[in-house]
Amino acid sequence: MITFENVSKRYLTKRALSDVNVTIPEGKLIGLVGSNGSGKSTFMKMIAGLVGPTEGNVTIDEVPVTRRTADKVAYLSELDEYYSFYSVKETISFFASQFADFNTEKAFEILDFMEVDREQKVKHLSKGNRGRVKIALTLARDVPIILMDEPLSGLDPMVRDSIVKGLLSFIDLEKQTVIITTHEVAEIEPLLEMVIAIRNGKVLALEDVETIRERDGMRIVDWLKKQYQAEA
Amino acid sequence: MMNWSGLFRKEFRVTRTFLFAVIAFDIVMMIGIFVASERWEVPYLTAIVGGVLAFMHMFFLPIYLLISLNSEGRKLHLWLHNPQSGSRLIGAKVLNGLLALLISLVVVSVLSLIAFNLETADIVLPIDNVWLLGAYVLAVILAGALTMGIWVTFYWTAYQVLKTYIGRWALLVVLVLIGLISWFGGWFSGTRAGEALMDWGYVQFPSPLSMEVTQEAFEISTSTVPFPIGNVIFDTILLVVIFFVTSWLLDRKVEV
Repeated sequence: MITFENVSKRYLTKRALSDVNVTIPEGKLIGLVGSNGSGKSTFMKMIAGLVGPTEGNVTIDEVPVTRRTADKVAYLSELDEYYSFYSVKETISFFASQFADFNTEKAFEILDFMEVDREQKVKHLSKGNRGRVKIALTLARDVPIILMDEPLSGLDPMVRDSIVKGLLSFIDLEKQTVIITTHEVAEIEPLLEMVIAIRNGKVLALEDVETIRERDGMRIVDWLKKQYQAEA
Repeated sequence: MMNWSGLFRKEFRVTRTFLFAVIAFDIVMMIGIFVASERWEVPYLTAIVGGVLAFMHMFFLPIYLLISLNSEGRKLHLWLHNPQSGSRLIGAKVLNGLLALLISLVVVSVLSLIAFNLETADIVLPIDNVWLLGAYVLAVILAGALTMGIWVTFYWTAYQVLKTYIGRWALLVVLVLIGLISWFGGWFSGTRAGEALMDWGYVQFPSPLSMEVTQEAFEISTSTVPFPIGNVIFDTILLVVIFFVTSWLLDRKVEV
């Protein structure tokens, strides 16, 4: 269980997160949605232990998060950065050497599903294929928490659709909590079980997608707009 | 063990181009000087240049680490999203740098010895003293390289920490910090406390510092010099402390 307790984060003069109090349950596929600069990436990096709170506490199963929480969290960054000297296969091998929970067989299975040539140098891949490698590296880890910051960015709509459909088969929701940020909310909406709305560093709501559909009769995008209007 | 070897191999790949470039420079420089010394009829020139090149290896490790760290700085999330401790992440770089330094140093030393033998076939080297000189030079180079390397890593990490809070002013603050720490080190070593911590445990140390080179002979005479062990112990402890402070900053304070 991930817990944010009175968490704020300031950068110079900018406030990235503001008094966040939220508890994220286990075993759910959760969408983190909000406009650009709303604090989504900072929120994700805090769970990964790559950013520390200025105030408050972030814990996983009541243990404070640090950089070394990487043994419990798989993190896919929004950045298109990689070790350019490695081939895809070597990148997989490097990750397998660093993470005890890394499932090499599963990584190759995902790469094959996404039709990525494992012999190619990562720097010679298209942006879309590099995005697929990042997804394979993240989903191949057998960890309780998977964070995916804009995993569909740079992928064309046809590929996005196939990856979204494939995502579920590579995640074990009995054991894993998955948090995804994306601007293509509509495309991942069928997968999501919960959604967190964030704006200007404030978490506006954490809601069951089923409840949003049944109680409010809304899609996530409309629900988000409603949250934003209520906040304004 | 697997994670350490994976990290170590990755570090080699990160800076492989730099190592190959330095080795290529070593070889081109030594061959160039050898050809020039034949034309100008200046014996020992290649060996002397080889000695200068060897001493310049003192700067190899700090430059190597700076290149490696800056390469990681462009993709910090990739480097830091790793369950291994900061000391392991940095240690892999330092050890890799030392190994690369030794490889390059061996190339320069071997080329120097070959050139010396080709240039002065009739002079026999005082081999025992050459080994002593080699060990002495190696110790000085490694100590200098490690000291500068560890401090460079500390200042780079401090820059990464400060960058989060003060943005582009971080570089200026780090430059001021370098000046302040250097000044403090110089001032402290002259104080009574500094002398008590460093200026003790003198032993007579064999030194091959007296060297005479003529057209006919190459002589290295050895003597003994008083050497304060306390200084070495103090510097070693200081470097270990700086290394672990850097690792702690990397684990706890550097943000992506």
